[in-house]
Amino acid sequence: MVIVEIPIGPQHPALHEPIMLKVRTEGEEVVEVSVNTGYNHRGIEKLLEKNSWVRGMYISGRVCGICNAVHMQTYVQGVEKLMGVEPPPRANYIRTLVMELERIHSHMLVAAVMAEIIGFDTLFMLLMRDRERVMYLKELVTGNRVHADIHMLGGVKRDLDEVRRDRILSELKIVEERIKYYMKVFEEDYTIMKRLSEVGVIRKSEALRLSIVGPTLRASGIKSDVRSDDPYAAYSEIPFNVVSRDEGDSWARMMVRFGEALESVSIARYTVEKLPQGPAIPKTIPRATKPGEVISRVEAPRGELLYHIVSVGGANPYRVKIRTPSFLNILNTEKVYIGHRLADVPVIFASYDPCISCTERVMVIDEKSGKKTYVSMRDLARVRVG
Amino acid sequence: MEPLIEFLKLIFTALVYPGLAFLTILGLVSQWYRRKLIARLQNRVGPKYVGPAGILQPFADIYKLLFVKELVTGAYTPARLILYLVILGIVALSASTALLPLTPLYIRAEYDVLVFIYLTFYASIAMSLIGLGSVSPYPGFGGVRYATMLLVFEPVIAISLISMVKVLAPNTLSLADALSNPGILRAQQPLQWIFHVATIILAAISFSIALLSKTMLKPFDIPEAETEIAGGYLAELSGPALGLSILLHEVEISLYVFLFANLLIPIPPILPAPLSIVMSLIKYFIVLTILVLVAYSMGRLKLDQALRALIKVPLLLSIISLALSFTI
Repeated sequence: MVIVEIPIGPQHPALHEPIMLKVRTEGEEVVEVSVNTGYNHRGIEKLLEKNSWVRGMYISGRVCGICNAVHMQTYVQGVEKLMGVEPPPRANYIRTLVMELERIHSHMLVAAVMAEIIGFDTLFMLLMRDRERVMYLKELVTGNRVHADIHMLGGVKRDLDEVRRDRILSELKIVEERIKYYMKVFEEDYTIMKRLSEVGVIRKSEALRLSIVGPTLRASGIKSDVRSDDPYAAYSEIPFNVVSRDEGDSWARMMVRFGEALESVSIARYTVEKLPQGPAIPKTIPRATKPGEVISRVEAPRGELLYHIVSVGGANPYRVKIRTPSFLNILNTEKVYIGHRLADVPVIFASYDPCISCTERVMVIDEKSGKKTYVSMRDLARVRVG
Repeated sequence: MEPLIEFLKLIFTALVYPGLAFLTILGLVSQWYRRKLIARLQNRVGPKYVGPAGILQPFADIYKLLFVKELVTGAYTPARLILYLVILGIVALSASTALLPLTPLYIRAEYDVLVFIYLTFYASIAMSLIGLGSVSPYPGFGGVRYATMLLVFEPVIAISLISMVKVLAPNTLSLADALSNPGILRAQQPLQWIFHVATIILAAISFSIALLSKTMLKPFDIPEAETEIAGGYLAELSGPALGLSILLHEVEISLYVFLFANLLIPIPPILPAPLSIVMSLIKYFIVLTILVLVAYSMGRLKLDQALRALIKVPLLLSIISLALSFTI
């Protein structure tokens, strides 16, 4: 049979971000998929090197629109470690609240995108409508709907008062009900079950071998979560469960996200109810660090987010290396598509909850010979796996 | 003089009512209705600005595609072939309306339901060939997917239509008889009546599922699956070719839903003509509403799942209903 090459992306209705999946099919069956990246490089890491520690905070927040608070958290907690600054408990609670709100809306977004990809437009619209409540909550806490910008070296920028606390609690109740409802829809709807179950299965051993992270890993039956393995912010004081499932397919990934969103609601409620007294906003902002390096990691909505920050002293970082969860999840899973139908490719891709703007920062220049050599991101990912 | 008047009447039937113009207007008004309905379902407003409550929006869209937008011809799109195909489809659908008893002048013959099936089959062929005629992989996939589904839904539509007509017009198998003087309303034995109603229900279920797939409504919008093959058979079309393809799709939906609504809920023959047409339209919108609400509360199936679903339920039910209609 003739093999047809179908380009999905970089501009395609199924993808909301610029990436290209070159799909080779034999009839409807997929025989090969290769992931092409490089459409969205912005030089974020270089920008971080060129700017001061405080400005770097805002740049790291701009790596990604959806998970901006976790990027800021990773950067800020790393820099705080270098500076020897400890944020007050109240600030840690507020940071946790914002990050959990972010997780809720991120998981609702990917559920909506998944609904759209399987052609369930009605569910997409309703999910996006209810996601707006979470955005409103985020605005209530931080003053901004999308970019939280709540972090500050040594604390947070805005405190939470009593009036807003009550409002958050009443809104969280509605959000929880809606998430439970949509979880039920994903569990029971005929077309969703038909399209998602048994599609893109990643077994436990395979998930470990491919260095998969986040809900995609937890859906393959491995309970790994930075929030419980290596607690940061206020997570060591907050009780919560790590949600996992054993099926390993696209449906399990969505179910893990819904379970996590419900956990996030309870974490958010806990942080608001048990908010410690004391100051949250730092009086002075430190400007310089001692020489040293630090690795900082955080559980982003898509998985483990890692910053490697190197300082040689002074007002700017020497190097900031960012490794985002999507980098591992997208590039290492090319083989999962093979044997599925063409219609399954966008479903599997969306089930990883890909975030391209996070991932695209790599540019390799051979400085020794003075030549610019480009190494594709796919090769880099393979090097990492090997 | 008489042949000339007859000829003019025929032209009027084909071009104005219930032919091309009527079908176009009905199709576009129902597109507006469908869009409005889906919008309300999805917490949106829907068409709003052109005409009262946006009712003229589909007309404006089609006008713009036909007369303002350019027909881009390239290596990927044999534009003229596609235009011919679309026109073939629209003409075939308009011609088939002559078999419906909407005007005093309609064509009626025994077994003319077969002629109707034959004529409307051209619309499906045209849609499939629009995709296959293009060189680009997206429309190619759309065309292949539609052609594959066509092998299942066309038999289902034909079988269930024949069994419905057989119950409503047992002696002649004529569409006009089935629609204007349905046999089910005549006096008959209770047992026979029960069997007739059962046949109609079985045929209606299979027909409506096949209709969703023929008209590419969800969960069978596989040939145009936007998030998989970027609009499928329409992906490479532009300007007039796109406008006419959309028109062909709308006209097909309207014609089939109109026929289905009127076969499903028979009108007593005592009503005067204008009133019966109003009644027909009311039934049409009721059935359209139900179909659209069902369709848009679902996602899209995969091709193999859709084929399996079509063979499992509608094909089986339609064969049972055909057997029932011929034995009783």
